[in-house]
Amino acid sequence: MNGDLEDEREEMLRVAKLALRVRMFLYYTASSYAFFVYALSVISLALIGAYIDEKTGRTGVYTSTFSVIGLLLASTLFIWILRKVARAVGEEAVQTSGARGAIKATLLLVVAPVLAAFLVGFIYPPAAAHSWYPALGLFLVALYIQSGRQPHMRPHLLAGTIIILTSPPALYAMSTKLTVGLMGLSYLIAGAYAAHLGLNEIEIRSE
Amino acid sequence: MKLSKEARTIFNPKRFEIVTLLIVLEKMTMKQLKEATGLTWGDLNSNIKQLEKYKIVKTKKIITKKGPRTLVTLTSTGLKAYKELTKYLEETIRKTSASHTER
Repeated sequence: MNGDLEDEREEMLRVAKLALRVRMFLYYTASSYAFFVYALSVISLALIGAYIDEKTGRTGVYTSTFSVIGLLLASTLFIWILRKVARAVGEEAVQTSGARGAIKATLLLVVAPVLAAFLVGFIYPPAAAHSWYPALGLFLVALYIQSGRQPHMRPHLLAGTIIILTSPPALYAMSTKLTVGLMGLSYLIAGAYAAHLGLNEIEIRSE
Repeated sequence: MKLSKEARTIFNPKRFEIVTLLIVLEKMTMKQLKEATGLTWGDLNSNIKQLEKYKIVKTKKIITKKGPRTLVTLTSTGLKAYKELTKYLEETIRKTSASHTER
């Protein structure tokens, strides 16, 4: 009789663990998509802007404007996707990605560029137009810290770290093409890392 | 380890099945849950009510192309309770196997 109860509990545990792993897999997959969507929206709009610049003979006006529009659109989309899927990892994530968390994150995304623009403009005035790049890196790292350094936020930390590390040469070059390209690259790496973490969750392993 | 009342509510084969489905799919209609679990309407209704009482799930009436449906969604309390139950089961099984080894 006791053996039956034990078997039943073991079966329940197996099913519960599998369900939680599938849930995490879905979260990581969505997170990975979010990175790709973000990178694609910014890059595609920046490229359209660059084309208009080329045709109108303007020097980077449209590229910068379209990049910022892409950045804002993508940020909204990114937060929305994360809000929708972050419940997968529980309470801690809800604090980061729930309604209140989304407001906090949006504030960070608004406040961080202002501070970065101020600092970059103060230290190196010609690069002020590209200050969104280090600000984005700071935002991603802040998002990771705000989540309580949760393992599921590591792709954000990775993308943020790459952006921060590549900020000095990007600001020095003062090229929108370079900053947008580097942002796309960092998001590609983070997206691939999120997909890898997701696959790890559903990988058959002996426990 | 003492289980919370929410985790105790899930610790029932039928409710465990319902919550497990919601852990993976987040939200399902009552019809989908009925088809997936094979429970009768009455049984499913009473179990959902029990889960709703402890805020493990929440229900909402929605209008779909096929008519009105009741949508059942897992709450963060439900997820927390499910994780707690998983830990409890792990601990109980570990303790049982340790006592078997001692014997």
